[in-house]
Formats: sequence, C-alpha cells, structure tokens
Amino acid sequence: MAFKAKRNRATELISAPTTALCKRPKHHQAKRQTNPARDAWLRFESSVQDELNSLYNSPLSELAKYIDYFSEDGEIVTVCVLMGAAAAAGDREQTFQRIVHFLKRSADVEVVPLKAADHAQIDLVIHQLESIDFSRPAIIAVDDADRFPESVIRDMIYICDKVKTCEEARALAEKSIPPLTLVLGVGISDSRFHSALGIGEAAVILPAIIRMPTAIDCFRRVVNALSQSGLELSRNVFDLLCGEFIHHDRTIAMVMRSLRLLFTLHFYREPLAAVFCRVLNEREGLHAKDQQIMRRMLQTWLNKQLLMEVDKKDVPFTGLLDVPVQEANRFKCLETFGQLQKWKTRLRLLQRLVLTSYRAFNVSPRWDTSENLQHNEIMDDLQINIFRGFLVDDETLDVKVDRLIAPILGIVRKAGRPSLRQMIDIAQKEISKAPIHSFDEDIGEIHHDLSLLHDEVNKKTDVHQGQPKYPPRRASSSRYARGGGAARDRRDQLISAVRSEVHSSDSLVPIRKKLETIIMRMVNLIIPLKDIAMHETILVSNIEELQSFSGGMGGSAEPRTSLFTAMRQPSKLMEAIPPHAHPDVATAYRILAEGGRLVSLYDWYNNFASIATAASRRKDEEGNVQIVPVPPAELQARFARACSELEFLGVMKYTNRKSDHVARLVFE
Amino acid sequence: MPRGKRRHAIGNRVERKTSSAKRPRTEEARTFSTSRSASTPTVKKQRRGRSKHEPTAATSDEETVRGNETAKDEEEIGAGRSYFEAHKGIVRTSNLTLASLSIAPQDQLEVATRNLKNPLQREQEAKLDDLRRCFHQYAYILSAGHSLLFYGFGSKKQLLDDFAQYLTKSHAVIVVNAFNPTLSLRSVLAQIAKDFLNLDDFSKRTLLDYVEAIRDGIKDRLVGIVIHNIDGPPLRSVENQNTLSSLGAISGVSIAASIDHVNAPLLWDGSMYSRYEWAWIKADTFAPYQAETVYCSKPLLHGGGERRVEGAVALLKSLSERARRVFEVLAQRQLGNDDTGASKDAVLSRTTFNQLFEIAKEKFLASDPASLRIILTELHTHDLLQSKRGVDAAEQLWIPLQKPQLEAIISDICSAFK
Repeated sequence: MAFKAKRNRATELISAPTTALCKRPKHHQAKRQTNPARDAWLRFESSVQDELNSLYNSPLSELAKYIDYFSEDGEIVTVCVLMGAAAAAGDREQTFQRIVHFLKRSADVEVVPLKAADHAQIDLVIHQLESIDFSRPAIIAVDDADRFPESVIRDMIYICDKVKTCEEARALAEKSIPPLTLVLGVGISDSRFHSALGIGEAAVILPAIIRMPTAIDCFRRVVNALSQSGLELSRNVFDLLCGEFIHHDRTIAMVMRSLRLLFTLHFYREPLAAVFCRVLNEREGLHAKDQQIMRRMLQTWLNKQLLMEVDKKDVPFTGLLDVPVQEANRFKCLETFGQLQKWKTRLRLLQRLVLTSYRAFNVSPRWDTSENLQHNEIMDDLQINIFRGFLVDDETLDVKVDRLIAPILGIVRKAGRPSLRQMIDIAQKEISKAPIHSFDEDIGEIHHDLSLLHDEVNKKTDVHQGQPKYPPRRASSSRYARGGGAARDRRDQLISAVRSEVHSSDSLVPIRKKLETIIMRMVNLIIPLKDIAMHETILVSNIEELQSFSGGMGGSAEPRTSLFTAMRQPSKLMEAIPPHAHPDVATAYRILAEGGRLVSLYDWYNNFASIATAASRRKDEEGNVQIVPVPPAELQARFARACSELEFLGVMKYTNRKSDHVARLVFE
Repeated sequence: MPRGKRRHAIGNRVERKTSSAKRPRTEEARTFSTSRSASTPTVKKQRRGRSKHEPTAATSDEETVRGNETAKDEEEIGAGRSYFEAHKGIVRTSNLTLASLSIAPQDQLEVATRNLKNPLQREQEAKLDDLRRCFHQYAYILSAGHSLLFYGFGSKKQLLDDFAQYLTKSHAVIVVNAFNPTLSLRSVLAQIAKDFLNLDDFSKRTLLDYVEAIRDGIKDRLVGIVIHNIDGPPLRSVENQNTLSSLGAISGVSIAASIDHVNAPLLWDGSMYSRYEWAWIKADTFAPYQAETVYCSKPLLHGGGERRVEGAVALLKSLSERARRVFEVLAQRQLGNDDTGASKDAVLSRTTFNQLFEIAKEKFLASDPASLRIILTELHTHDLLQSKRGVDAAEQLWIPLQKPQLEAIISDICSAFK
C-alpha cells in the first residue's frame, strides 16, 4: 500500500526535463510582425551609436597615427589606451570591441586580441603569438593589461622584442612598416603598468598614451540623442535614470537597458507614440496600419473629449461629427501631432539657445536648492543640467525654465553692444537651424524681429550727438612744461570716453528691452504640456511601472528583498493573509533566522510544532477559545515541506558538520 | 593559546549549559521567544520611521535631511548585522537529533503530505488570474526583444505553463523544467534545432555552435523558450548561462523564465544581463513548490536516522568479514565509553589507531598496520568512519552515528551473521 502511494506521488510530481508544447504554431508561416517599440528603439539606438562614434573618432584617429608610426631605433610602439571611467565598469568590453573593429578596418593589419580571462598565463600568450603571420603588420590588442600578472606582461614584451627580429618582420621593417604594435587597454591610470615594467622591457618599447572618452561624455551623448527622439521624459524619470547610472559604476549599457524598457512600456501604453515618432523622425507618410491605429485611438479619445465638453455645455466638435468619424479622427490626429511636434521643437530650440548662450557668456547654472538633487556630479555637466531644466515637471506638467533663463536676461540687461550683437547672432543661428522655422509663424515672426534688432545694433550711432560742447581749456605753457597739461588731456579723454559710453549705453536701453521681450516671447511660447491634447502620447512619466519592470532598477537585490518581505510580512504581498498569520514556510524561516549559523533540526521542529499548534486555536459556539489538536504526522509533513521549500529557495542547506543540523545561508 | 581558540576548544569538551536541550523551555516560552524575535525588526523599523518621517516642529529642514541620511546610514549598517551576530563565538545547539523524536512512519507521512490543505488556494487563484490578465502585455514585451523574468515568493510553474500555452498562438514553444537535475542544456538546444527548425544533427558540436546554427536557421520563425527556474542546478554554470543569454539575444527567440533562489541574480554579469534584456515581473503567488521540491531532501520523511541505519547495515553486509568486525570493535568501544549520550561530543569515546591495531591483532583481524589501514579506508569511503589528529598527534577514530543508531546496527549485523 505504502509502495503504491509512493509510486503515485512520484509519477504525479516528477516532471520531464523538457516538454515541446507546440512545434508548429497557427501563424507559423506568417511573416513575423514588427513591433513598433522595437523599431523605435532601433532608430534611437542607431542615433546613440552615431553620437558615440563621433565622440570616439578623435581618440581613435589619434590611435591610427601611432599605429602607423615606425620607430627608426627598432622600438615597439606601445599605446596605452586609458579606457576611462566608463571602461572600468560594464562598458569595457564594448569599448574594446570598438577599438578592435577600428584597428581591423583602418589598415591591412592582423589584430590579435588578448584578454586576462582567457590568456592570463604566458603559455597561452605564446600560443597566440605563434599564430601571428608576419607577412603583414600585426597588432597585439590587450583588453585589460592591468589585470594580467606583471610577469606575463614583462615576458610578453620580451618575446615581442625577440619575435620582431624574425626574417619576415625584418623585411617589413626595411620598408619602414612597423611589424608589431602593442595596444594595451588599462583602467584609469597607467601608473601600475609603468611600475610593472623592468628596465630591460622599458627600453624596448616606445610608449604613448591615449585617453578614451569618460562615462559622463558618453552619457551626455545619450542625453543628446534623447532630446532628439520623439519621446519626452518627465523630470522624475530622468532622475531615476541618472541614479541608476551613478549607482552602477556609470555604465552606459545599464542606462541603455533601462531606456529600452522604458520605450517598450510606453509604446505598449500609447500605441500612437510609435506613429508620432515615425512622423517626427523619418518624416514619412503614414502607413495604412498607422492610420488604423490612429483611427482606433482617436475614436476613444474623441468620445472622451466629447463627453467632457458636453459636461461643460460646449461642443466644439459639432462640425467634425458631420463628416465620417474616421476621417475626422485622422484629421484631428494629424493636427494634434502638429501641435505636439511644434511644442517639442520650440522647447528644444529654446534649450539649444540657452546652452549656446551659457557657453558663449561663460555662465554657470544655478542650483535649485529646493530639489535636493542626489546626483550633483552629473548635474555639474552644463549640457545635462540644462537638459534636465527643460524637462517636464511631473506634478504640473509644465516646463519651468525661469531659473535657466534668468542669467541670460541678466546678461542682456547689462550687455554692451558686442554682447548684444553676439546674443542676437546666436538666437538667429539657432532659429535658422531649427526645422520648425519654415512653418511656425510665431518663430518666423521672432526671427524677423531679431533681424530688425540686428540691424539696429549694427547701426553706427554718433556718440557725441546731443552732447554739450565744452569750451576748450586754456593751455598754460608752464603747466605743459611741468606735465600738468598732458595729465589734464588724458583726464579729458577719459571723461569723454565715459560720457560716450554712457550715451551709447543709453542708446542701447531700447535694444536691450526689445531683446529681453523677444526672449520672453520665446519662453512664453512653451505652454504647459497638459494644455496640449494627447500629450500622453509623447510624455513618459510612469516611474512606478519602469521601476517594477526593471526589478527595482538594477534588479540584483529585488528577489532577495521580495523573499524577506514574503517571510516577514506576507500580508503586504497578499492581502488575504491576516497580519499576524503566517504560512508554514514563513514560520519556519522566522525560527531559522532567530538562530545562529547552525540550527538543530530537532529544536527547529519543536519550535515549529509549538507555534503551529498555538495557531490552530478556534472559537467554539460559546465564544471560548479552544486549541484544536493537530496530528503529529500532519505537523511533521508541514515541517518537512517548509524545510524543502527553504532549501529550494537557498535559505539553508543540510550540513555534515553536525548530525541533523542545517546551515543557515541567508542573513538579513 | 589565544583566548578565542581556548574558549572554542573548551566549548567542545564541556557540557553546554545553555543548550536548548538542557534548558527547561515551556511551550509558551518558545512561542514568546519566536514572537519577540519576530517583533524586533518591526520595532526597529518604527523607531527609524519616526526619525525619518515625523520631525518635530522645531527641527529645520536641514536637520530633517540630516536625520534621513543618518537613518539611511544606520539602516545600511544594520542590514548585514545578523551575519556578524551569527558568526560571533561558538555555535551552541542541542545535541539531540531527529532520532529522539517520535516521527510518524513514512507511509503516514506520505499520506499526510498528500492530504495537506492549502488555506490560501482561493487567493492564490485570484493572484494568478490577475497575472494572467497581463499576458498580452508580456507577449508585447517579448516581441519588443526583451526576455521575461518572473520572480517572487511562491511556485510560478502554473503561471508559466499557462503563459506557454498563450504563446503557442504565435510561437513554437518548448517548456524547460530546470529544477529537474537530469536536464541537459545540450538536449534542449538539440530539440529546438532538430524538432522546431528542422536543422541538421549537431551532436558533436559545442553549445555555442548550436546557438549559431539556430541564429542562422530561424529566419522568420518564432521560438518561445519557457524555463521553470533558470537558476536551477543544471543551468547554473557560466557556460550554460552564456549560451542561454546568447540564445535570448537572437531575434525570433523569446525567453520567459522564473527564478526562486535568493541569490539568483548573481548568476549574470553585465554582458549576460545585456543579452538577456530582462523585464522583471513580480509574481508573488504564495503557491506551494510541489513539483520543484521533489528533488530536495526531506529529513523527516526519511524517518529521522532510520534511513541512515538502513544504509549503514546494507553497506556493512556488502563489506568483508574483517571490515565488519573492525567496525564492530570500534562501535563497541564507542558504546562502552559513551557516557554522555552524545557520541561526537565525548573525546573519550574515540579510539586511537594504535589502540585499534592492538585489539585487531589480538583478535586476528589484522596482522600489520597496512592491512588495518586498508579496512579503515574502506569504512571511511562509505562515511562510516571519521578521523582526526588529537592533541598528542595521535589519530583518533570514531563512527559518526548516534548511540541508538549504533546499537541498531550492531544488533542487525549480529542477527545476520551469528
């Protein structure tokens, strides 16, 4: 009987390693559907890559120069590539890959990559070196030279020096082509590498240092790409990304992962965002599928709007209701997109104007002390700070730029003619560059006013106009002889210069006021985002969802925290559990956590049994509390199951250190 | 001798007064002890919470911020305190074992396990239904190129099985039970390559070759891999995780997996993490881990030390007559000297090698130390013997079993061979 029960249980619970549920799905032959979030992400990612490529161009072209350099004295050109702060964390592999690809692409060379993880012993290095064909120049690219043992690096340089004396290498040297070059990737400082080398090794190399861009540089480029994307982040979401960037060793890869998730979640909630991004980025016509999405979404949106307007006893869409609703939706949608696009481009225009002005007039941004920013080191960067200043506030859905505009207005109020001219030039250039300039009437008008102001500033004014004519002073020959006349002349010149400055300044007052008005007009064009219909399409502000799907940003601690919450306060995770009641496994865990690193099963069981028995109290019909006896077999089965589950969760394990004891593995 | 070491050495010899076995503990006392320890964190939290959220009117904002920082620092410092508390000093636990408990027979335990009620079943079903409603979103996230990672307390097998069914509309789906220790990743990859994509046989290739072949051969098809416990023992190696992450990075292959181990996220480094592109989904189902814990050890279900005795007897029966008798000599000495009731605790119960050799020579069991050493090695290999160098450098031998277990074994052997 017992055997039968055992067999039944085993067959019920033991699972096969794999199960193929469906080999041929219904839509198996259908073409794979494209995901709009994925498409938008790929576009954004390529724009980030373009930005990063432009950032890396300078150090890589410098690297190319060193590689082509041929030392007449026969030294090995050794380029120490300081990977920067970014490389110290998760981006190192990517940076190194970029270098290797560049080396392979830039010249007809053989690149031999070495990594500490794979080639930390000299035998492995020799094996790699033996595979080099010296019929063409070779480059040994070491990803992490600072992780190699010092002796291996020394031996490698020694071997390289011997290898280049071979016949084929000498043939290359005769043609003034460097046969061998070393590219050593090091973390932040090359000092360790230098101290590792002996005199003999240092004598055979010709060292050079190249610095790769820092993590903040890269992050700035990501921010730049973000400002050009179709989506508009709220300030809290951006702060969350910054926090993650800082807390994960300034890893760009981590930021990109979060951004990707953010794109996916937003595009799921707002399918029209995909259409908007496509219109904004590619300037393509709308596809039939996009139109379908637009119709569906607008239908819902219009209905909602109409209901709201009916409540207000004002129906603005009466005219639209006459035409077929799909067409109306499409028309309205395009119009709304136009407004959103206009708002976004105006905002970015003003942002660029502020940034360029800050740079031109050397203004440092003011801290907003009320916000208590956590990431001051990132916010020290001017571009990132200004980008953040132009983000939408989560509560008001408004962009408050007064803090950033105030220094510019201050400069304008005190500016001389050259500064005014420079300011107007900057504004004109930025407007000319903006894509909106051609069809935004307000911006066009501002551009026109700026042109007029520019002419006004450039107009040469007679500084002496209206000045009182002073009679010339009598010159005394004796005073001139003593030098007093010259001093008086100088004083007169100084006074006249000050006078002219004052008069000139007076003439600049209306220009300053006009420029100030123009700037304020530009600022006033940025209306609160909540006033634009369908702003949800482009605004990403759902911070809770992002945190939830990214496992508490970073993810590594979340399962652990979740487990502890489930054990300590299960009612928090499942409301049906009463606050003071705990599942068996939670009870067993709490007893385990009370002990030390080794816990006796005997004691553990006894404690568990007493608590489980105490918990089985029931009130009878008269309201008296009675303890319902629990059969020992049931208690033991419950305890055994709790033990198995805790072992499965990695909370404890059985140990041979003492019989019938378990070792606790988790400490809160 | 350093003080700490001395205390430790003494602690092994002296009778431990504070052990729970010797301490009179009533049921209430035990309950109180547990409830008190359980309430401690709550109290701490409340205290912290007061300093964090309820500043007095007189305190300025600056002080509040400073108070918050201090509270946060304290919380961070306190986070690992239990580790140091647990590792401070010697371990004091009772010497009583499961053999001292009146454990129900295995059949009864099996039946009781089968009949255990699940008081939260309705709530668990409701929770599962909530999660099932989000399947559309999960599928969207998968199609955007992410992998799904379900985490949280409770079995997620049912949930993932349902999601696998949902995915069959568009994907060819394979369900992998990684909690099963017999699983091999190679067989999973072979199944995908052969059955789903009709690719050639790759039996002699590496795991990454399979991945390359799948990448080349997948074309426009969609393959969904649903993995129960991607942190399970068969998939924990770096190579396997590397392979799986590379598989997840293929466009057209979607991975939905669950984790339960408390340290599961430590499996992945930055590059693996980037390839997986996890979207984390919190699924606290509170469902019992029935299928997953089949392969875990269940001490009570084995009837305490009963199974160990059975195993020892079976082993001794298969050994030579001399080995059996040497074991018997050791056991008799251990039982004869064992006055404390805890065999491991009493150093006196241990026999030195020289003493054993003298006895063995008298009883014609071993003529020279080498032959005795062979027998002892055999016993040692089967965990029936342990040895340690004593303070006089002499090798001390003992059997790592309890007194009742030893008695049971001796009586079993005697009845079988005399």
